[in-house]
Amino acid sequence: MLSSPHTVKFLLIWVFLAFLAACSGNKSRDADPVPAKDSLIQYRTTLLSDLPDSNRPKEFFLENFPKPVTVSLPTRANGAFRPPHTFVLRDNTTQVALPVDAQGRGFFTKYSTDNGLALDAVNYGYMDSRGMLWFGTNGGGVSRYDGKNFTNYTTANGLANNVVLCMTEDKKGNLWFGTSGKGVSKFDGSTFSNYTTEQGLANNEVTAILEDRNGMLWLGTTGGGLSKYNGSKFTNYTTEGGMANDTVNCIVEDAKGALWLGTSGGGLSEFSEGRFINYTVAQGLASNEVNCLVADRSGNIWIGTNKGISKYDGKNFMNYSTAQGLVNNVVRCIMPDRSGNLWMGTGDGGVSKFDGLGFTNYTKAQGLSNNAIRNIVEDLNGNIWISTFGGGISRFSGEAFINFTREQGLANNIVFSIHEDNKHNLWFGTSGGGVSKYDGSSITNYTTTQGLADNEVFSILEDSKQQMWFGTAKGGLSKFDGKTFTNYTSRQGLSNNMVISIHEDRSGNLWFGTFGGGVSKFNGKSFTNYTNAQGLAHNVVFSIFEDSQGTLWFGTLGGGVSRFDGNSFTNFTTEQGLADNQVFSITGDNTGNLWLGTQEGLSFMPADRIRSLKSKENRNNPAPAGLFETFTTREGLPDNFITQVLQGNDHKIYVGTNLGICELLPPEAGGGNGTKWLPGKIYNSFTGYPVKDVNAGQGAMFIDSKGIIWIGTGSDQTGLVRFNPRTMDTLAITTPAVVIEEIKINKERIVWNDLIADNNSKGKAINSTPANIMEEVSSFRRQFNQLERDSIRAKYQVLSFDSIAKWYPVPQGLVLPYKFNDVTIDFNCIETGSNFLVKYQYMLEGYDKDWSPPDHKTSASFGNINEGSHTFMLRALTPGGTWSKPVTYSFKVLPPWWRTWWMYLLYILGTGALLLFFFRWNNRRIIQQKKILEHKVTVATRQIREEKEKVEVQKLETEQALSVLKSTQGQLIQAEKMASLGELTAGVAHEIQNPLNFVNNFSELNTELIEELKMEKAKPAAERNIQLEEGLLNDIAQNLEKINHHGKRAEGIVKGMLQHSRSSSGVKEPADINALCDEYLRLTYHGLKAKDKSFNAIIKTDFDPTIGNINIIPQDIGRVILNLLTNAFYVVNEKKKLNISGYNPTVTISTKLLLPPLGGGAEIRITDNGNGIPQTVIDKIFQPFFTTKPTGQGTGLGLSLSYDIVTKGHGGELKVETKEGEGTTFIINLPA
Amino acid sequence: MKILVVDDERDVQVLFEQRFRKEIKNGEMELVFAFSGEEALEYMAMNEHGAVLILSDINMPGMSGLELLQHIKEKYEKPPSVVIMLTAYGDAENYNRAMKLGADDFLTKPVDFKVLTEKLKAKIV
Repeated sequence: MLSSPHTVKFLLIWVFLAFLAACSGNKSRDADPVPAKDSLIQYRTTLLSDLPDSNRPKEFFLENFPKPVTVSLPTRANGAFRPPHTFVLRDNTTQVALPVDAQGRGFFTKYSTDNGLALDAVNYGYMDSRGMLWFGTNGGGVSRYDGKNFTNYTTANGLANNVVLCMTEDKKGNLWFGTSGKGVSKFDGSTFSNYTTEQGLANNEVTAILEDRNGMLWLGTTGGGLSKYNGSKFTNYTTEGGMANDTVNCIVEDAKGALWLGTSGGGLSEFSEGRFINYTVAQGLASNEVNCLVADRSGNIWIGTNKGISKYDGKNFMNYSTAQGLVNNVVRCIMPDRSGNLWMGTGDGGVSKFDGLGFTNYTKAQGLSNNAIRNIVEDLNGNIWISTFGGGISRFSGEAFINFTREQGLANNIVFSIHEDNKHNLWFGTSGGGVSKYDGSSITNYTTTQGLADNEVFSILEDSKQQMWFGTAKGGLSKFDGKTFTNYTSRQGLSNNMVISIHEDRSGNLWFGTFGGGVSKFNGKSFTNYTNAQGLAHNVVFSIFEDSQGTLWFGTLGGGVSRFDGNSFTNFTTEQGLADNQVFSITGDNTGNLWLGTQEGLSFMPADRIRSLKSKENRNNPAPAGLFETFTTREGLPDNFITQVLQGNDHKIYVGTNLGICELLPPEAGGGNGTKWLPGKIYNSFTGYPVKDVNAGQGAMFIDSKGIIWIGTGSDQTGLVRFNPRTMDTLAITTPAVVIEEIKINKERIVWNDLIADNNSKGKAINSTPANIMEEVSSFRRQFNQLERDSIRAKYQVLSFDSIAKWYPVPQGLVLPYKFNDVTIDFNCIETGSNFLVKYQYMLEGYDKDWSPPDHKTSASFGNINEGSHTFMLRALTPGGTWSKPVTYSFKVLPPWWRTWWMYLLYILGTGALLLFFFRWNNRRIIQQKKILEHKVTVATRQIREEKEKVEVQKLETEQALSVLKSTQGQLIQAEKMASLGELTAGVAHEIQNPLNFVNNFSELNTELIEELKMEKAKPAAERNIQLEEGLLNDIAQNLEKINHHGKRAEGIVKGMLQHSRSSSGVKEPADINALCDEYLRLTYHGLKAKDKSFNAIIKTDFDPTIGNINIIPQDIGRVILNLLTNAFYVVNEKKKLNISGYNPTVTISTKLLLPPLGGGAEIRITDNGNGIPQTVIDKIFQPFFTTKPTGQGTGLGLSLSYDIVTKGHGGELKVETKEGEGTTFIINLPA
Repeated sequence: MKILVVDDERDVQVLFEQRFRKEIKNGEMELVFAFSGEEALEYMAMNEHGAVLILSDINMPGMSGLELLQHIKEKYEKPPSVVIMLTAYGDAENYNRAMKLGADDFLTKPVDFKVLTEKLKAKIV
């Protein structure tokens, strides 16, 4: 791309421009440095009417010039012109259209052996209770990742085998690693203990491990079945005990404590109360080759097989495969994330994310390092870590950033201009590739071969006539109406053929900012050109903005900014306080402030000062102090070269710079004192985001109608960036753990376990490796020989300590002789998201007076520490802004001989300096107390601050939850409307099954009987058994009758269902209330009966024959009756289950004519003799989502909907009368 | 060999009798019918060890097939028969419940008589 001649030319122009600008800018500042506010100079205004005639703006009418070139889009190749090419963004594997989140390159980061990972073939990933990530590799042992480094453990450290297939952490904090062929290894943080078939393990190929709620360890093996380990012995289970297969690939425990085993070839085994129940394809499982299992929050078991995914909800299996959008059918792992999505890794097809509705697929095309997935795990920050077989680990950091490049079909990687048309297509003007149109699912590219004036497109605008305008580098302007390109150049009166900015004013005039020709106004018939001859600040115009008063602002290259009110130009430069005279970008915010991106910072003109600019009146006023305010790196911007400014939907200002983008928080949200804009988050490669330098020019950063920010960057790798600011707010905020990793004495690394004399003889556990060898290998990557160990011991024998910590070999209760009083402490924060952004603060009590300034350094050195007890305190500030809990490390330094007690005694006796010593001691005591107090205050202040932050986060979460709730509520109401029909259909469908079975069975039987009859008839007359033939004929006739009977039975049921499923017309019509009640009574009764044959109740009806027809929406009122009757039958049936003697479940439905003055309408009463409604809930029963049914049986929407139908839909009343223990009556009053 | 067929659909009797007419004629098989769970228990109480095998539907009014199965497995010290559940409700939940209650086999409707004959022969031999 970079070698294309167009781009090289363009880059040269750009570099030259920047150079020119830099020279002119520097010159002006050298000679005339930015004046202090009190020395600002009055701005100058040029009135067009004051100009001499020769300088008045000239108007060039199109009719006096050659006609512009027009090219209609060819439908097929025609000379130099060809039809445009469209790239459809679809999944290469499933051919399904890609969701937006998967169209570009996702925010993936690769970790491989280059970063310290043991091997790029990773079998398993796991997060332990400390937040550290562990990766089992296929030959390199285990890698631990704490955010800073990978630490690798292999057979040299004592691991049973370097091929690790699975792992888990037990309740005591030990890690268990299942290996290939060498059994299982337990790691307690300092040593490995190994268990094999010798100890009773079923098989040494351990493929799955799980610790159940009772602390039992379950190990699935290849070929040996299942092993249970209770801490002292193994118990084994195989197919002999009823298990489906002896190769167990995965184990999961459900909410009830049952174990589910996925096997190779035998399907699924449920193991509870000592019994195995096996499920195979016969019960609906997708395949008998089960690779992975997960129990989700709702109690479903998800089963990954070689033929897709099965969900088992305790009743049925539901299967998903590529037909539903899964990326590949060989599912190797499933992981539920904190947002409720399921992530599925496939054998060689990449990853699918399932949100309950659909699949989003990620493959190498989206940035995944490899498509062979073995495991997926989520860290504390919500990053998804994907273990691949061959590609190391891919980390996915959410959907906030997606990069588009030529790989996706974009015309070129460098995008200069972005615009959205009225059909919500996005248009990207590129460097050398023409323009790309993106409609959300495909990209269509237009170049000079379709008629575009030039392939370098600097600016894009759709005018109010819905025509697209493209400003190009050397071809002037292209107008595109969807079918035809019309190109305008200086031959038609345009002031210059390099058009870098376009704007349409409120009168419909188009303004073109050019490179060297000033600005051209086009009214459809003529061009009028304005240059510095008319008062414009400079003839290179980078950006055009129209403020709320209709005044135009032109940002120029070297001349500052020009304000044009139609009659006069007023120019503002550094002389009036502007940050720099090169203005790349101008925008206004929702409160009327003006923002100007310059080469030396971001300038800001507050709305009240803009309003005070009245060009005529103020002409002779003194220079206004503080017309502009400026933000630079001093105020927290990442860089002063500001190429883009825009305001987001969240009212934040987004600033595009040479070093990524930065937020400015509005005063009301910016904290501080509520009056200042404050810089917020920075997104660039230093803060871990895929945004590099943002391109200059009008519209290289653009906010679309959905609030998505599109950013053209100057890097081939990042290309066009799609940034969704909203997703940044949902990132998890966690309080990570801080750990002390290592203690060095006199700057030297020590193997502390070598200083314990009896270390080697400790044979505590089975097959365990001595802790000192483990530490030698971890710290020095090899085992020491005895000579080396002896020399370490000789050197450091005088150091004493109580014990050595696990996980990180740090000595506890360390006591140092005075000559070892140089201590270095290495530490880290277990933060696997963006560890490099963590800042640390520490303090050594008795050494430091205060906390150290926050810094990224992860090591602290203290030399020449005085004798006494010292406590090192450490805390970490995460990128999310939370402080970790402080950790402490205490040690003691012994005094030198001249400060030992006996020497002091000598001094006292010898010099009588007792008094001196006392004062000194007393003084120290007071200082000490003061410090303790200070520390307490610091801790208290910090706690208050943390509490405040927590409350703010909770408030935000609550607001978000409320809005989600509101939208969900709408969906639920819709769902309930369908549910009442659905409940009945389930029962009725089964009811149809029975007659159909008979039809099938009897017709099969008849075929056989007819065959038999034929055979009998074929016999010679003498042998024929006439009686048998008669009998057969009779049977056939009888069976035909049965077939007919059952066919009619099914038909009757279907007719009934169809009647009920008629959708509501929403129109009121006269309806017979009695007939309606009767129809729905029958429907409800038979529907419930079909579902549960044990259901029974006495039904009483009392219909008033005088009631006549009433104007109602029959389907809606039917739904109300259905709902009330279903409830009535439900409660009487529940009461019946209590076995109260003499209780007869009874439901009564009656109608009555309401005589005037009561309205002349109808009353429907539905009465049950259930248990009544308690007074405590009577007020809530019409509220949405209120239900007394057990979880999962009722939506709580039925009564609420019924209430709305009766009251809002019919202007009637729905009342309830109830007596606890005796029953309930619902009364529907419908007006005439 | 006596088989007790329990189903609330009365036409099941016609169907089974015609389907197994040869076996009945040869004396290989004797079919007894009950049209509810209660009727089945009544028959069993009156004819102890009367049937070698019970073939029961699940979804019946009154006592369901699963309740019948539970009753047989709990009340009878030596469950008198092999029990095969035969039902249109062939979902995993019913399968799971029937197997947990101790059913010996589970077949779904419509009946594949070839499979049923094989199963019957296997259970009886």
